[in-house]
Amino acid sequence: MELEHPTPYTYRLPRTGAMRTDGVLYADAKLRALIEGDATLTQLANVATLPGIVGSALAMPDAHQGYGFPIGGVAAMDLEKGVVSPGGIGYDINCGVRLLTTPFTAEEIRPRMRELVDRLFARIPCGAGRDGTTPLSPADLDAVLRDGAAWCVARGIGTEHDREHTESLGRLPDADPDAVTHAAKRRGKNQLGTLGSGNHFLEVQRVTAVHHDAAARAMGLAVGNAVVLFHCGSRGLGHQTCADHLEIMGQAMAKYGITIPDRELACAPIRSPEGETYLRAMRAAANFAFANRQCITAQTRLAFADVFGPTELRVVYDVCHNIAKIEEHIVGGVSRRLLVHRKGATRAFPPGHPEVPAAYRALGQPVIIPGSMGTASYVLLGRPEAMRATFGSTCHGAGRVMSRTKAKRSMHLDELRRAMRDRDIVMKGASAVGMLEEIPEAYKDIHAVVEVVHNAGLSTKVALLAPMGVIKG
Amino acid sequence: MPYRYLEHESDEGIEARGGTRGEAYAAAIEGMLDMMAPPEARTVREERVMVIDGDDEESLFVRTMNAVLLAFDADRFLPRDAAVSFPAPFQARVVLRGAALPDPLPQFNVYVKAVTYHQLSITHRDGEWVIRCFVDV
Repeated sequence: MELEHPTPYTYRLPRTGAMRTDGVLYADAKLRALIEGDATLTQLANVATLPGIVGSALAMPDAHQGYGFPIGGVAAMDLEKGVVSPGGIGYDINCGVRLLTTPFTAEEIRPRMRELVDRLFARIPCGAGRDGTTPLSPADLDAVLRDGAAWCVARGIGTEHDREHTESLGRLPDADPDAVTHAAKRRGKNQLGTLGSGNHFLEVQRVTAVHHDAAARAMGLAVGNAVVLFHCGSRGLGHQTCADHLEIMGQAMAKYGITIPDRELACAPIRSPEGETYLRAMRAAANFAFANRQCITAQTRLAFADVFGPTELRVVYDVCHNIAKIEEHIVGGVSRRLLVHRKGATRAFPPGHPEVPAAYRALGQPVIIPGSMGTASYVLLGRPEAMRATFGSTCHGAGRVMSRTKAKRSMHLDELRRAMRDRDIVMKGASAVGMLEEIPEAYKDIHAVVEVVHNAGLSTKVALLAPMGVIKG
Repeated sequence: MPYRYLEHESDEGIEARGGTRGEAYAAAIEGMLDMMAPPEARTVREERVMVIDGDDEESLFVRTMNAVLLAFDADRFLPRDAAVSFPAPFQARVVLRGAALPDPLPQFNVYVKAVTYHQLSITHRDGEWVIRCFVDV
């Protein structure tokens, strides 16, 4: 596909054929070459064909081929003429990241890292088939779907401070438990408080660099400090919600006269019964994910207490990167309410935005970017340019470059263990195969991805984090 | 095994083959189960029967595969294998043979979130059914 290169960090995919708008990829030359190696740009062009799309179809520098939408994709839709597509959110609804500070330096923790990793692994169910920490009655599950992290806090699973430092205060309004199918509820009822598998993980990390003193100070981050970062979502409940509503929308499209180039882009008008029902179900699944991360936070605190005695772990922030939200954006000088799909993309609101927690409002919204296992993660801040150019969005991680099959073939478990040991990283996983699939070499260079969003002005670097201990599903 | 795995950047693919449509479906189910847990970790103690309806071949296949995942996740039932027949053109009758998840749990490889329509193809040519599908892990 022919790309134009209008700015140092953007590539434009001009509108052709059935595209209703152009596509814009944020990348440098090296990332562009990697991204052109799979179907990302074709999928970006497909997203640009969806009815009611406003502005450009966007891909972040960590973009790679997904299902329907590329991962790393952002698309904003007109509320009256536009569609909602479950494929634009992904199977793992409200997959996201939470960062916690600890009162310890890395060097204070390091001598007991093996013990801490063992306790975290024992406390936090990881991998397939493990029940969660918080069994739910049908009524409790409905309450979780409605109230998200607030349900947890009301039961002593966390604090108001945790909730105040969570995107959307850990609860999306207009969530409807009745819109979540019985099958999805059956999958989710035993999974609250579980990490899952695949690319989901929890790491104990050390702050290795600070790029923005005031923001780092506001977040409680200083070089040498130990922090905890984890990445997970709505588990089987979210996956089933996506699958069920893809089917519902697939059946409904004909009556709305919608044709799509890829069945995973199944969609329905936002203002249709199918669209509204999906959005209510998606918000409920998102609330389940917020509650899930809140329960994991509680288990993390217990694991630290097992090793170090009572320990205050404070939530820095919790962000979603698979979500659709109705937001206000300026388009062509006019303020419009739009449905913004972010699939593998993180909200990055600028200083002064009312949805940024009070503690950070003067600075901008914290953005947490998990790297691949054993490499590095970043904390960023949302910038005004993101509101102008990407509907307040930035990247979400490193993004894969190697298939899982190839990753498994490229390294033996002993080699991975040795490589982690050489980097002074203590690792424990539920699945040897799962760990091999997530080797650092399977991902793009997180530093290159972050340089693009930093230099493009979408978000600014605050701190760099390096892993010391990892648990994985 | 009448299946092989396909390369996909972020997820996993399965190409399943069978002399009959039912054999190809069963091979795809077995490929997905083998992806999740090795065959030696899966025993047979009971059978479960599921009847799944589709709107067309593709939706029937995707819904059948997702029903197997639902049995695993919701009912904690780990199938060993499956036999598939078709009482109606777009209706599948699946007999899953397996057992409740044991305690302690076996060593799982991956957790499959969902089976997708991404690059899904189901063909019948020269007396052979071939299914290519991708699963989200």
